[in-house]
Amino acid sequence: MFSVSTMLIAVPTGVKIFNWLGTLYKSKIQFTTPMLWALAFIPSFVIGGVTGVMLGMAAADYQFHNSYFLIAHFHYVLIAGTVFACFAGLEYWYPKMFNHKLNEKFGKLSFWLFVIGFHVTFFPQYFLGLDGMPRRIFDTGPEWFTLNFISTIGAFGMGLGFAIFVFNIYYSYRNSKRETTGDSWDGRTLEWATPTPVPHYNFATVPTISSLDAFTEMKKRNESTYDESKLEPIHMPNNTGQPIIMMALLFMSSFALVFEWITLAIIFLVGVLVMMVVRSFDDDDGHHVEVDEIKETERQLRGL
Amino acid sequence: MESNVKNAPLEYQTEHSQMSILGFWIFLAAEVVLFSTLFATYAVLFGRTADAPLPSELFEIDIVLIMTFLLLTSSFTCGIAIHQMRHGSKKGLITWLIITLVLGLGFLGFEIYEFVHYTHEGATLPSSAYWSSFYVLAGTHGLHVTLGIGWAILLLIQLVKKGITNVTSRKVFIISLYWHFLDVIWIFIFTSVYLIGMVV
Repeated sequence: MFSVSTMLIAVPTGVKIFNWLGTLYKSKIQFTTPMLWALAFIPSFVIGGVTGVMLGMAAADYQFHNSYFLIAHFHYVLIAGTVFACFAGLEYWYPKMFNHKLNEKFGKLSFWLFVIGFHVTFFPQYFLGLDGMPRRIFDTGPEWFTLNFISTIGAFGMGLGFAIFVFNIYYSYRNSKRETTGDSWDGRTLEWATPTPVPHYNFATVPTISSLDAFTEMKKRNESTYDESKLEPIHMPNNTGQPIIMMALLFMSSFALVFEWITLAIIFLVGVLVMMVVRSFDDDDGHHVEVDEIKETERQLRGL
Repeated sequence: MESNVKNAPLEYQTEHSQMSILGFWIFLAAEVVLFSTLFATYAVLFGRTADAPLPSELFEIDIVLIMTFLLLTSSFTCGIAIHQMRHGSKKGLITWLIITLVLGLGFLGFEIYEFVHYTHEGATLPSSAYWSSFYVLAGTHGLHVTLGIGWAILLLIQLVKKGITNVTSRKVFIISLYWHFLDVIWIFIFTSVYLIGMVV
């Protein structure tokens, strides 16, 4: 069972590796912090993936099962696959969210500390597993001490890297240059076509997409998502608390069901039904953002 | 694009409505997944009746056939209701929608009678793995019909108040999709639960 499900994941993921390499092939790579995170992801994840295939072989898995080999494997895939991606995404879209970039120097320092710390932490655990150390024990033998000690040093490295990342948020808030164009990285996709902070109606004129990397094409044609001749009033929904109230009631009823508090669950479910009726009879059509307001907002944000 | 929208039925005329209808198709896809898991559970637990009666001892073809005809006919009348809506007849739409609801209620009445009857014969939700899966599968469908009836009543009130507009026509069209979907699910329950349960 373990081997079948492992192989079911491993084989398509092996194909994915070539997707990522293919995307990078022959491109002009700029080694900014988000790109470093994305690049570090590939080899780290491959190490996790290859050891995953080892776990997928039923005969060998009798030896690896529930050992530190497994622990090292899944931390390699989880941390490289999600934590690195979170860092990459956060650094990349940070200027779109908060109107300024994170400092590159501190970003790179925290990157190297975290990535090296990560490998120092988890790589020795493969060998601990092969040496027979099982998972979920509170006391280890002396023969496993050295590798565990190295692992601990690595963990402090990761901790320091993360602390610097957090400090960088504060540092950049104080010192980073504010964005003026909304296109912080000479981006290729449409989120960079909007000014920063993004107006609540998103696009002043909705772009027509004719190819991949729509924004690159637009920049070549000297177009933007603000074309005064094409402005129309934009329809927007009005603010309402209904969805969040409904979801809160649903959450509380599921919470009650988990502990089999049936009466409480029914009370909240009735609340959900009442909210659905309220919503059904709500004929709030929203409002239009008028052309003058769009003009004023965009001119101010784009500095026209 | 513009001209297409002008020629489309009323419920497709605004972008908002088009997205609502597409969203509802996606919801139905999720419903397919829900019922697939229940059918799979039923298939796995088939025959595991323990000390409870066998389905072949309890299932009666006449009741199930009446239920099937009631629900299938309600799907047909629901189609007529939409047809009336396309012709702009508020009175026709409301009439056929009410007929649909009455047929749905009839179906529900028979289903409740059926469940009570089985319970008296000793086949209850906790009596065996087979009966658990049966009640959860058929019960989930029944619950959907119940919610659909409540939902349709809300729409009837809105129709009486506002008539056939962009918004109400979209809502009625969406509930018709829901109602036909429940009909399709019932056909699967009828064949794979009742017909097979009667002969095995």
